[in-house]
Amino acid sequence: MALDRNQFLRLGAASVLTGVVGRTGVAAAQDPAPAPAPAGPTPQGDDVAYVLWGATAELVSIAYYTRALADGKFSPRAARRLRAARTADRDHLRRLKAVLGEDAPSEEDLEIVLPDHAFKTRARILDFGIDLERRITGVYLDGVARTTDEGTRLLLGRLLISDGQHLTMLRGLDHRPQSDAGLRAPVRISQASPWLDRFLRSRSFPTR
Amino acid sequence: MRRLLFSTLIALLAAPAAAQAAPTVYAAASLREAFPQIDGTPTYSFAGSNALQTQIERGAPADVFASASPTEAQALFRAGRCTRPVTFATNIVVMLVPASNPAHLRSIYSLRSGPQRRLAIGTAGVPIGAYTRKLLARMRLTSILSRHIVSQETNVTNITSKVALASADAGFAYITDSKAAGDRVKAIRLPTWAQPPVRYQMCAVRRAGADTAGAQAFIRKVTSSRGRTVLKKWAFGLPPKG
Repeated sequence: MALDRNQFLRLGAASVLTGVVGRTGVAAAQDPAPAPAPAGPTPQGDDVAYVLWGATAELVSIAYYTRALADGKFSPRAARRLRAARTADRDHLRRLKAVLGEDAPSEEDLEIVLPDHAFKTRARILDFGIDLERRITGVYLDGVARTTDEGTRLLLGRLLISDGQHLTMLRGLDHRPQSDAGLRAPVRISQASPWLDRFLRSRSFPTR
Repeated sequence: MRRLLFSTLIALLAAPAAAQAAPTVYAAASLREAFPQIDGTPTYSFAGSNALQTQIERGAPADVFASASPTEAQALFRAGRCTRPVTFATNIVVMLVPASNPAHLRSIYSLRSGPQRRLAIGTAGVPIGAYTRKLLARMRLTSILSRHIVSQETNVTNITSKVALASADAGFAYITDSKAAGDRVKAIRLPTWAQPPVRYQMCAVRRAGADTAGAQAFIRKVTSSRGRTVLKKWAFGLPPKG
């Protein structure tokens, strides 16, 4: 059957359209349906350890991004990304504080003291941030594995994803490979506790 | 007439004496060293804050109540039994071990493994017991209470004594208690991030016949510069002046 030019073009357009619609239909069928949201976080027993550690670590993280922006000589684009990470961490802190209620840590109770030597050069600033985000994501990962309450587990999982993106961003700024070489290992609170404590001074117990 | 003048004179002489009488102070056991150094004149009763609260609710003749957590003082205030409480000191929870440290405990994490030990902690109702349970949950270490032999004490003095006498391998008390026990115990610090805020509050008790003036004078002494110096000497933290 011979086709003139117009018939040929119509046939081509129809084929393309069928392909697009077909693919979209397949994509829609493969999209995971959103899981029913569990109830809000209600930590059970020792679950609270991850929420409290996380809230305190997010305080440290916010202080880190603030100081990095003040002390580091970053390009406007890099500075925008650091500011975005700080904004996200403020949101993390707000969510964790909402779970803890009156037991939440605050800047009124805790003074964050970051080491000066970590902010001397751009490279050191990024090193410190990468270490910070590695530890935070490590503890969140441990929390996902060990918490009893489903809502708390979901919150820690969401924070893990978000802080994982910060880690990738910092690695990118430092021209390092952005993804992990293998699977990440969880970090126990007992391991992460002395590290976090190094940056804290109690304002409500000033003799320390 | 002469009799009336005589009784009036007696009443006038007696009035200043009553005003000058020392108040009765009911205070948390952890204040037993500091308070008498701030003011040696009151009649003191030191015990667990919750026990003292109950006694005041039952009409005990206290003029001042000083508790190791806001819970007890605020409960009396809400019930109209004392004035609005003021925060006058802070503290932190530590792990005490005997000076000889027979169990060789180096950190709280030593209690996660190894042989069964004897621990002394406060009952859940007494502030130090509530703070300890909160701190252990915050460190994901509540399981150590079921792993070891635990004696539950009604006040912090009993915990310190048990550790000082090596009747317990470790105990959870305030840092001020380690200071009071001197070289009989060692204090092992616990992480700052996991510390529950320990705040002491004080109020003047409202009851018929209470020495309100004496109570207010005592509260002023504790919150004065001299009072704060003594509290600091005994290792208490201090809230901002105001």
